Amino acid sequence: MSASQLIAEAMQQVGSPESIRQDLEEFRESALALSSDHPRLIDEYREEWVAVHRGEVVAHGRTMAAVLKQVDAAGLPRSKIVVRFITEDPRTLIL
Amino acid sequence: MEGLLSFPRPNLLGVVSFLVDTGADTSIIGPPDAVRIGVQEDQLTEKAESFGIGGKISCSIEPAVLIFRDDSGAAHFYARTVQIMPLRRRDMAALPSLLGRDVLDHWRVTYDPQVSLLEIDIHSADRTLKPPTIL
Repeated sequence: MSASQLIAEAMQQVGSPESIRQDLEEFRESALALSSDHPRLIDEYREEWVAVHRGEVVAHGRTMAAVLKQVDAAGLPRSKIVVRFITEDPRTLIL
Repeated sequence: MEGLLSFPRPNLLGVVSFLVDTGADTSIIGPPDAVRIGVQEDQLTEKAESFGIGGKISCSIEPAVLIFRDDSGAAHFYARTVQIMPLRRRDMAALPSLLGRDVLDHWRVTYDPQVSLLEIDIHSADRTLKPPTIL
């Protein structure tokens, strides 16, 4: 598939610039909530996976699979949620 | 840096929060993002080896489109073959997705941690979709 074909198909998936804006802003809201609430999240969800949608924790569990199952059961869009593992152990990433 | 990630062939789409990595030759999708948007490793047949400070890993590769938005509301599309980290390795389970130089080479990036600034100027894209103009 050529680059132009790929982009044409992607444009059909994403819709208008306005829908792209909505998707990205909704996601950013959740990502910011995860960052700003990290100390509280460590208290409540230490060593757990959490899913955040529109700034609220909507699922949590010991495995990512368990969290995604809750997300699916609630009918929430996986494409717009943020899923992170909550730990207080600092990780050093050298990528 | 948030962007939309589209895999047209399996028809998957999701928003991804990328870690900007000027040291990465190509963009690579981490397991949490790949699994969340529905990537199934069994359906990925093409592989490529990647080398990093941790050694060599075998990643899947898949044609994708990465989409970013600027302050004017325009959407910028980049068709790239992205790598996908192994999805079943426990030691990689929480690794983030990386935005590499396959996209960053088309931007000017200003990073100033003293003022929590990461500023992007988009120089070029494979395709740009501008918002409708109100006359």
